[in-house]
Amino acid sequence: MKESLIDAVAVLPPTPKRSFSPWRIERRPDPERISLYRISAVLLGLAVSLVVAPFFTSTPPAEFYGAIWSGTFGSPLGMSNVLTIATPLILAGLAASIPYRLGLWNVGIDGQMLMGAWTATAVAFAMPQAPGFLMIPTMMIAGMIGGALWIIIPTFARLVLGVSEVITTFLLNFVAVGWVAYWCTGPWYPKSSAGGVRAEPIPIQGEIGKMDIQGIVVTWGILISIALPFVFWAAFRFTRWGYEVTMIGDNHRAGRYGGMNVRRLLVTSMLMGGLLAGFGGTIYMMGTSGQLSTSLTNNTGFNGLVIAVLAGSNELAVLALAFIYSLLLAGGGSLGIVGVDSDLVFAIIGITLIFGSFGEAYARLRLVRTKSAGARSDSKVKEAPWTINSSH
Amino acid sequence: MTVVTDGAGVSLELNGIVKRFGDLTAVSSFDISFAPGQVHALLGENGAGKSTLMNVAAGFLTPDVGEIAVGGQQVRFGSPKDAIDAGIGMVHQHFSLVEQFTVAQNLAIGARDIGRLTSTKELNTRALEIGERYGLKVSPSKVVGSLSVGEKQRVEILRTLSRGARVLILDEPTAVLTPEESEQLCVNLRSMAGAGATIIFISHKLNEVLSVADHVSVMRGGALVDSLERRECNLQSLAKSMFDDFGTADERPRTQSATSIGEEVLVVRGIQARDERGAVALKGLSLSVHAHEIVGLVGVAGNGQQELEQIVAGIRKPDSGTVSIHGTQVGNVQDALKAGLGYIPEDRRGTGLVPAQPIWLNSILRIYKDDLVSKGLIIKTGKAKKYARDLAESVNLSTNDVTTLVQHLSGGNAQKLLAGRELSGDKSAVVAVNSTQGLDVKAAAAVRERLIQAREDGLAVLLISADLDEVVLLSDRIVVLYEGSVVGEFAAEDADLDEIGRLMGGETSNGNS
Ligand SMILES: Nc1ncnc2c1ncn2[C@@H]1O[C@H](COP(=O)(O)OP(=O)(O)OP(=O)(O)O)[C@@H](O)[C@H]1O
Ligand SMILES: [Mg+2]
Repeated sequence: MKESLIDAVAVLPPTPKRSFSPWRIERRPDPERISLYRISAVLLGLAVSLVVAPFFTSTPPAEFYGAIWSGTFGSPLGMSNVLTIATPLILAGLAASIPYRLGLWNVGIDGQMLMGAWTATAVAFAMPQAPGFLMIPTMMIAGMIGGALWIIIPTFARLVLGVSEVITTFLLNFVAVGWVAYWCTGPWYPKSSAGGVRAEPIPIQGEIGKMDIQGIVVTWGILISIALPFVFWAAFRFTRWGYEVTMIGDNHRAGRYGGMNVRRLLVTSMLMGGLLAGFGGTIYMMGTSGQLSTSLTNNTGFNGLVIAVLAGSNELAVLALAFIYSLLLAGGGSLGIVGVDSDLVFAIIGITLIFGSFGEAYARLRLVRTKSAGARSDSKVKEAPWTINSSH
Repeated sequence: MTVVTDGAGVSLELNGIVKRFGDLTAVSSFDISFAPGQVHALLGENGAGKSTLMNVAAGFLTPDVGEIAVGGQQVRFGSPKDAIDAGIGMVHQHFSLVEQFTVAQNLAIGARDIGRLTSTKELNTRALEIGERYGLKVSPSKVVGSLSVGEKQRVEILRTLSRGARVLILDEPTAVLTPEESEQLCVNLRSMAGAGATIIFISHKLNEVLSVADHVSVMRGGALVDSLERRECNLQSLAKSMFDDFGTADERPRTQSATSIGEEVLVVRGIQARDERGAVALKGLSLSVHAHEIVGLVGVAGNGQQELEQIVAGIRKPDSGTVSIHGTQVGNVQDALKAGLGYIPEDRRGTGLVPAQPIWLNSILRIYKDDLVSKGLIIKTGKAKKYARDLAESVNLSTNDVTTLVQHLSGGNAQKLLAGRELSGDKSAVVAVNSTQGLDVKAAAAVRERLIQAREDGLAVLLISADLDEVVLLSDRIVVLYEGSVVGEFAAEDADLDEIGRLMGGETSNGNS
């Protein structure tokens, strides 16, 4: 054995030569503040794409920026629009973020929003004479239940059969659209149709009231949407449920060892996701659209998923990112008025998000300049004394 | 055939390395060199900075200051890959093998001498060749998940060597090995060194160090306090230089129980169970541990220990049979916790702790529903942090900042936290698996002391360990496990090590019924 070992060491493969570029990427030993990096990167991406974008349109820059400004911070109408968009978007972000903490993907938020709104509508039509103070809470609860029910099948398919929730939640989006389309074109066909696949508007007393803050008109749903991220943020820090999700999210075996019911927690967080999505769809319908329609969500669910992933298990980051995202959507919308192609808006959003993911990479990795020592070392090691023994 | 003469390998020099983590200086500027053809042992108490220094040498960490030289030439590593390209490879205590892959496949990962499409047969032949080349036996087609720890380690070492490592760093390689496996490893290391390799060996087992090393360096608090030839040191002098306050007391625990054994507490009856692959792991095993008693369960790893520890802890369900503590049946973890079971699992990072979370969250992992730290559905964070601080202090943790992430603790300190957590509070029984792994001599003595204290306090202690010496030292009764059954039982006084060894190896004993 000794002989073979000696032989072996002598025929070690020569160290391969490798050319070093002066820059290299290193993994940071301790990535920290990832969500801070991401949000900063999103803001940077926003700035960069806004500077570059006017070059890609014939609209004069002054008009371009003017439109964005007045579509967002620059006018009460703009701000109303931003907050209106943000209301369901924040909830959609949470709907993705909470299951995501346990490594589960809720890709069916749009569907859950629709089903929530559908259930709320059904309840409203079932009690058309009820006063608002009764109808509004009943609709909201129904909306949450509807959203939660829509995620039950994917949840149990995952737990019992091991079917990936990515596929099931995603496919149920289409089922939800079909279902809503049936009701909009059938039983709830509106008395006066204004185009699109829309249902009869909900009774007027079922609509959520609006606040008017110096011309900024928005439903008080926004208050709930802004409060909830803080509620969850606190829940994750101070409650048993939050503790369990935190520990299991990192190491489910340790969770079991700590006496936690891992399956039950998976179920509750998925249901929580569906519930929040359903609530988001309902609140948007009750406050903004006033009627169920197949285009009610307008991709809010998908955008929420993107936000959740960028926010990385931080509910306050969900809030911040959802707000930035709403600015983009609202500002982008008003660009259409001055004749900018809507594709450009999507490009701006895309670039901003790409920056966001670079932010994550930057938090985890770093670029360092290798001194010339790097190159030197390589050539020298190649001539390590070892090689003198390979002469047979 | 060529013969490698002395000095044909490469030396490794670390000059003035400084590595800080925040305010903490883990390694503080000293020069150390490792000569080819030698086994160089690196000692030091838990948290001394050994792993940090070696992670720097192997490209896992970049130093804040300092230089690395290989074979006399300056190098700079941006990644472990750079280090291996320069001939420096490290085997961590926690292996990086892919459990689902075969040995041959694992050896092929990252290898440069094979093409994209290589047949299984070719890979197997290659693995055999590599094994032969370095004199380490492996079975290429076996799935790594089914190997014993010692075998896995051999694969890990082979992989490192086959990628061109001429300086081989081993971080506490023997912490998880049986004495026989450790001995075999030491023999292998000696012959590698004999062939010119540079071996760096981190260990807390002084006897082992004295038997295998040519040169011994001792670190304390990030500094180098001693660097000696083997002949210049002995057990006493090494222990002295490792700890500033050594010698206050002889750390040998009292082995004789002061109190006589009490009633049955932990009772395991007729347990049948299967392992992950569905093979029978426990064949109707029965066992009982009394109050005021430490029962040591010995056996070669993989004979059902893991299944048994998990079943007793309520994590795994047996096919049949029961576990009870003080007469209460244990069906799940909740039951076990309620019955007062402390459990130090073998798998520290995968089961016992959540490394990415802070010390305080980890401290309450098994008591987070207690009134002590929670009220209704709310966790009392102030109380929880206080609890964690007290725990950290009681086990002499390297830091008292309980917001430190567990993954930032040294290996030994993480183990101290785990063992301390499971041995404190109101317990009636303890299952302790390799509870002193990775601990320095003093910390290991402290944990043994606490196990003995637990016995004095009337707990039933089931000790499962690969370290036969430790089992013999602590136990009142020794039970030998082989292929899922108890094959022998000895009172501590008349334990015959040779006999136990034979039983562990599957030989039926003459005097055993
Ligand atoms: N990534 C990190 N972040 C912060 N502190 C760290 C990190 N890694 C190690 N430390 C700290 O550096 C010190 C040295 O740790 P190191 O792991 O090198 O000790 P060690 O000598 O290997 O100890 P042990 O015998 O317990 O394994 C410890 O105090 C540890 O808490
Ligand atoms: Mg270490």
